[in-house]
Amino acid sequence: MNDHVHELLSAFIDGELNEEERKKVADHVAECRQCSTELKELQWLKEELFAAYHSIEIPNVQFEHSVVQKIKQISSPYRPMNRYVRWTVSFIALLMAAFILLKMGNVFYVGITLATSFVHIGLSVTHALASVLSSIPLLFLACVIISMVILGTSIWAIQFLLRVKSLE
Amino acid sequence: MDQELTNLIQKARSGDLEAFSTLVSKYKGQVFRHAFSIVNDRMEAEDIAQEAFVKAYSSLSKLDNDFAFVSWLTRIVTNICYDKLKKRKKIQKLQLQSKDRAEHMSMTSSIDRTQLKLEIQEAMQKLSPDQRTILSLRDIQGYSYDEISKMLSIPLGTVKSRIHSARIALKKEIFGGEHNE
Repeated sequence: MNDHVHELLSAFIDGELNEEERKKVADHVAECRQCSTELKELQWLKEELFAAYHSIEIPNVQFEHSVVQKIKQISSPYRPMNRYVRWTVSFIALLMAAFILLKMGNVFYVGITLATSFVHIGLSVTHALASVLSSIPLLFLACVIISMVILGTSIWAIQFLLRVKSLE
Repeated sequence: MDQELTNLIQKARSGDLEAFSTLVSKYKGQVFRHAFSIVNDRMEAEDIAQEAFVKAYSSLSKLDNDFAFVSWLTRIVTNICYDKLKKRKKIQKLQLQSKDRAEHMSMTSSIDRTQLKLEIQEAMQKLSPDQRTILSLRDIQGYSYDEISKMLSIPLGTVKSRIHSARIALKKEIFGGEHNE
C-alpha cells in the first residue's frame, strides 16, 4: 500500500472527486491505516471548523441600522430621487420660473436693456485696447512673455503639488 | 427564494433602503463570519461587514447578474479583509502548544468545546490570508469548488490544492507538526 491518496482526501471529503477517483480513494482507505486516520482527522477538522465559526454570535439588529445610517450619510447629497418626485420637482420649478417671468416682465426688460448696454461698452473698450496695443507692439510682446512665464510657473506648481500628494 | 432576492435587489438599486436593510439582515451572518474567519477580531469583522454592505449598496448598479449577488458580496468582503490585513502593522503572535492528537479528538465530546473553538480560531490565524479565505468559503460558508473558483477567479485545480494544503496546515497548527509526516 505505497500508493497513498493524501492529495485526494480533501476533495473526497468535499464530494468533489469524479467516480473513478472516489472509488480509488474509498478502496485505498479501506486498507491503508495511515490514509484512513488522515481522512478521519480531516473530516473532524472540517466539522469543527464549521462549528467553531457557526457558534459565533452574529451582530444584532443594530448592525442593519448602522449600515443604513452610513449609507444615508454618504449618499444624502446624491440620494437617488424617486422618478415621480423628480418629475414633480422639475414641473413645479418650471411653473415658478414662468410665474416669476410673467410677474417681473418689466424688470426683466430693463435687465436685458442694461445687459445690452454693458456688452456695447465692453466691445468699445476692447476696440480701444486693440488700437492702443497695435500702436505699441513691444507692450503686446511683453504681455505675451509675462503670460507665458505665469502659465509655465502654474503648470510646474500643479505638478509639484500632485507629486507631493501621491507620495503621502 | 431567488425571485424574492432579485426583487429586493431591484428595489435596493432604485434607492429603497428598507429593501436593502432586509438584504443586510439576510446575509449579515454569512458576511460577518467570513470577515471574522479572516481577521479574527470581532469589532474589526463587524466594521468590515458594514463597510462591505455600504460598498455593495453604492455599487449595486455594477452588479450584472442579480443571482450572483451573494458571491459578488463575498468577493467585496474578501477584498476589504485583504486590504485591512495589508494595513495591519502588527500581526497577532499566538503560540499554540503542540497538543496530543488523542487529547484533541477526545476533547470534542468534553466540556472544553469552547476552548477548542478558540484554538481553532487562533490556529486559523497562523495560516496565510489565502488559506483562511478558501477554508472559510468551503468549510464555513459551504461553497462548491466551482463556485469558489469563479468567486476568487482562480483555476479549479488551484482551489482543490489550496483547500487541501490549507487543511493540512491547519491540522499541523492544531495537532502539532510531528503528526503530519
